[in-house]
Amino acid sequence: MSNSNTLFDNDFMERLEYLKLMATRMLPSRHRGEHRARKRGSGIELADYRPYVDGDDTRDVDWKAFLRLDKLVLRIFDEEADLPVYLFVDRSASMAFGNPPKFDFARKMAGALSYIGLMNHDLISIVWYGKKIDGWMAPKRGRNQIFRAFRFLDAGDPGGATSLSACFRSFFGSRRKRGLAVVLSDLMDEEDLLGAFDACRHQKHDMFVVQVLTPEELEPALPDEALLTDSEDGSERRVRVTPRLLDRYQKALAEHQEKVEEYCSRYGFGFCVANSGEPFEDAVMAIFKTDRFIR
Amino acid sequence: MGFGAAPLLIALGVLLTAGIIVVLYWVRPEPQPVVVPSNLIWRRVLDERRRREDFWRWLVSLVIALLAGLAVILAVAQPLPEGATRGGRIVVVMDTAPSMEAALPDGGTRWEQAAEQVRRIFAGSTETSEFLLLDTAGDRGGRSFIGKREALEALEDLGPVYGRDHRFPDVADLLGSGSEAALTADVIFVGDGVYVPEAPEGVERISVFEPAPNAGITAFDVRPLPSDPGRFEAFIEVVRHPAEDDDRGVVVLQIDGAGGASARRTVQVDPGTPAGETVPLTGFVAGPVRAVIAISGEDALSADDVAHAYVPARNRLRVLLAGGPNPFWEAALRLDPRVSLSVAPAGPEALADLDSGSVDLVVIEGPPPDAMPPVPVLFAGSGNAEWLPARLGSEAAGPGGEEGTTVMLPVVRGQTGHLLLRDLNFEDALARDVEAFDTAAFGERSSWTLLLGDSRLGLLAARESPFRSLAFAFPIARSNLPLQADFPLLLSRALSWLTDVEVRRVGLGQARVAMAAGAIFDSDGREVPSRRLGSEISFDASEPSLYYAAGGGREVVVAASLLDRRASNLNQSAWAGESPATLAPAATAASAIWPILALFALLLIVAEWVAFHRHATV
Repeated sequence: MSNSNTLFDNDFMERLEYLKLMATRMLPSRHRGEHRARKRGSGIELADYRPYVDGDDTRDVDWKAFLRLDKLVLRIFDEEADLPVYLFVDRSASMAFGNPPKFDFARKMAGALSYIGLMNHDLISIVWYGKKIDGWMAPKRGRNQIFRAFRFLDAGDPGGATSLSACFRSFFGSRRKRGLAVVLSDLMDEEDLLGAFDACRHQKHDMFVVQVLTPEELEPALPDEALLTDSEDGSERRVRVTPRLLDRYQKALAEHQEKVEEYCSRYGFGFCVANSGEPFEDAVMAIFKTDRFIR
Repeated sequence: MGFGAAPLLIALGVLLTAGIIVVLYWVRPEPQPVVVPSNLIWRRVLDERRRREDFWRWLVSLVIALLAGLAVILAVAQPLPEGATRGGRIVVVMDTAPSMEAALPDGGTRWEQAAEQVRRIFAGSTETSEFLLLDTAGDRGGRSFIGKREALEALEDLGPVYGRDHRFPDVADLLGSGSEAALTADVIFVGDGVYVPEAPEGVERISVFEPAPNAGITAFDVRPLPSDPGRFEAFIEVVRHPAEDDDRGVVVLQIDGAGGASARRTVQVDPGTPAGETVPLTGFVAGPVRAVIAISGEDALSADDVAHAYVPARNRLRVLLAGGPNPFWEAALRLDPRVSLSVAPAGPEALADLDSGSVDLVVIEGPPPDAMPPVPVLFAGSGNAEWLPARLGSEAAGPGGEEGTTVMLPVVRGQTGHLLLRDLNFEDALARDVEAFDTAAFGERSSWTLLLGDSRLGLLAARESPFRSLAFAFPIARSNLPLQADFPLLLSRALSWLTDVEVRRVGLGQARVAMAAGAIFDSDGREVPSRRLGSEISFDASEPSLYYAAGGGREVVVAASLLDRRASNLNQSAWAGESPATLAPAATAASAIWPILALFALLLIVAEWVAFHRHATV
């Protein structure tokens, strides 16, 4: 892969190295290829003790404790498992806006997360979605897959409408290994966004939602008289922009975000808003700081 | 409710207003197209806002537009309140009598008040109304109804008229008796009831009469003293008409003459009773004389406060005696201190280069010259000439006379009231060598007037133009007339009459001067518009002043003064007990409100424009 004219150039790679270093500092207890699963089971790291009951595997009985306490105590280990990471990248037409475009920003984030995940021997899948699943990269593991992931991300183009609900129903309709679903989107989805999240949640997947917005979306700068044309469905709305209207816009945007954030908070999912006008690594670091991306 | 504007104008105004409003909506800036990632958030914002605000914004915009449009339409249509409008054909008769010049307590005049009343009648009428404007002086007549604008212009040309007989015009006759116009037209008379006290039945009367205190000069004359024609006195009559009954009032009389001469009198004048005053014009020289009166308090009419006259006497007379030496005439003429006598021998050479610049009067005794001298002439003698009255010839004349040519002057009749002969006694006068004038020659077409003579014999004739002249039918030296006691007075009067400036007194208004051709000048030397009426010149003496008529080597001084007892009595109105009409405020408001409405509409349009750009309206 040539690094000179693509999204993932040498500069990007240098930034990834920085992110990798920062991720190592922020997650010192993490070990390469060892991600604790929520499921308690047959791992080697002791997680807890509990009284022995009939039917438990006697191999897990702590005999030393039995000798000291004269009680059968069962050692409980975290199950060591590969953590599948599903990166859902929104490639609808609305992602083409911004400078840099939100789509590029999302791709870089996905590339960075893929890099860190593959470096940690996670199982990484990348999904393009718009009105439906437009393409996906099958789960890959190992650092040697990193350029494959980059090539996949580099080949995407924005266009069309968005339906996360249809995408999730389609993707999670098939049996998937439980993992972490990362959604990189502007969440400008007319359809039932929370219903889509439910489809993921009902499959016991963890989820992290990154809403990528441009500075213009966060603080619109419009002429006094504007005819707003939706880039996805072509619908038009005439507005007379006033400070009061802009306040209402930001209030509505905040309500939209709060609704998603509240949902994520209720079910233990992660949520953050990324400004495409800021360096993408800041957004990645913000994700790490939430302590929800890698467990 | 009526409208002051024409229906077509109203329709045009409505269309124009609607067009302007539509254009204003059209010219609003088009929204700038902006492609956004998604309208999701905007849709939520706009849907919420639209629900709450759009209706009210639309309503406000509509109300403002409707108010602006309504204001413009009302401004154009000029609605008039009920009762303030008149329609159809309206005949307005204006009282243009001199009393309409009277000032009112509020500062205007009765005429201005009347004109304002009529303007408001015009303003309060519908656009389709027609008017016929008449006046009591008869200056405006005819039966043609005109529009409001033309009627207003005609009103501006009207004003009080002096020196005319004022009466209510026969409107029915003007419109045609029994005609539709005569039957349907409303007739309104606006006046003060002084000169024209009554109006025909059915005429709506609008009174502008309010009592007005006034004092005026009703007579002013400068006349020579009978005992000394070279000295003059002024007679002035003053009248005072207070607005309310009061005691005797004081009128200050001031008479000013040429060269700074003046006389001042204080006269007690009873209300309504003329008071006469005679003032010797001692020290006054020939020239204009002006009388001015003043009273304490208000004086409603200024035109009768001033009167003009003229002292006609000359202080120095340049007399040429043709036919000298003549000791008799020379002695008689030298008795008059005004005379500067020069003597020339008989013959045509003496009168060859005669003109008014070098000689004021020529005295001829003997054969008359063939041509009339271009200066006043005192002729005495026999002989015929074309410029003299025709003679009867040398024959027995008159009762009591001797055979041939002797006549006793007292037995013949004459114009004893004439200035020359007034109060003179020539009981013993006798004339010889009389070649009497033919009395048949004194007719309307003759320029000569017989002063002394009977039905057959003419002894003394006078002529006014082109120069005053006197002609005796006998040589003075052949009579005993110079031996009569009153002869020096007769000669003095003759010299004054022949050489004095000719003065004519006229009232204000149209004045006429007997002059075949000439021009009229005011006291400042500016020519006054005039026109010829046969052998007279007519001009408008609109203000009390002296005018000068000049033409054909002759000058006439015209002293124009009001001098009208009726005009000075401003309170002698038949409508005195009535309340004066008040101005119609509704019509005033209607005529004055349209600029306010137009301004209001403009403000509304601007407000809507600003509100639109501030997104307060749609």
